[in-house]
Amino acid sequence: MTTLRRLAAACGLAAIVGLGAMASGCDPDGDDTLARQGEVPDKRLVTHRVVPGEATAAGLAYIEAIAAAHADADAYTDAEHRASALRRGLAVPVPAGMAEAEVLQLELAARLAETLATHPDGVPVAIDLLEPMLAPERSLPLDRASARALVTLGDLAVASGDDALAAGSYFRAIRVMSSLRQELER
Amino acid sequence: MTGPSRRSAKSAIALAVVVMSQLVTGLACGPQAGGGTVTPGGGGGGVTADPDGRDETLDAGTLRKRLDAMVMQERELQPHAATDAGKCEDLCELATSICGVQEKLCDLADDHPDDDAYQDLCREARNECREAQESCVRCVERLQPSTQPDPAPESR
Repeated sequence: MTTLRRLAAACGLAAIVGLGAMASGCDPDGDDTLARQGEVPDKRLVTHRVVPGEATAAGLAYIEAIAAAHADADAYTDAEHRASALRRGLAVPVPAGMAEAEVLQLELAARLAETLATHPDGVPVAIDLLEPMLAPERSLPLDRASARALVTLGDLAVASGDDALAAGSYFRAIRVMSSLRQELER
Repeated sequence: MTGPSRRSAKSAIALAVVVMSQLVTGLACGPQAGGGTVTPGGGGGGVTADPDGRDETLDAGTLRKRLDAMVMQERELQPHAATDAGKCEDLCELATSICGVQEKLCDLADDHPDDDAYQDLCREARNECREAQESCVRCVERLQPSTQPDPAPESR
């Protein structure tokens, strides 16, 4: 009986460790949130101007599809359906050479992240969505959409207790907006 | 062009457009057309009109050309004022957003009082906020003289 109990306990522990290992395997960076505690905020920012491309039928169809996704999301009151509508928008293939699509995608992603974050379990999912799109080593379009997405990421990071990510994101958002201000003043 | 002089130019052009359009209309609807008021002295229908009410020095074609030029000039000035107002609105909106995010950032920095990285970010963000507010105020100040009504003429 004791042996059986020990065996069961060992199996349970193995299962827990195994699940943990599997979870780590799904996330190559391991537990990001814990790893980042005590990290220095990353304030790197690279931006580029969005140069509108030529108007094409494919481009127009894309814009209409994104507008429809936003309209669908507006029509739903529950976060789950709204998130589904926004995800459909993000899944629309971007026509080749359409520079403006980057801005539209950031707007969609920021809105989706905000929708996901209305549920506490959705915060890490929302961070996983936005963080790669706004990575410091990645050039961001010089547009309010970038600033909005960075502020959203900062808010999500605060909610998850990742102060370094939050501070870095807020600061980068401020720099995007300052660049926009300087452009306006020229 | 500065605010007050632009305002004066716009007023002058607007007045000139009204006067010129009346002149052109007056000529087109001269005594032959049955319009206008011809005084016994024969001076009706125009400022320097001859007894028939026809201007010998400025014909309708010339006046119309001048009118068109002034209308174009007026149109060029109007969008400038609108653009300036829109620009100030954008600058002030950005200033509000920058300062709002700065507050969030500095709240975080308050939680890390001994961390220079956070304190530096907060300090830089405060500077950005101040600069943005200053540019908003500068823009609005530049705009104000051209949107305010002309002061009433002093009575002698």
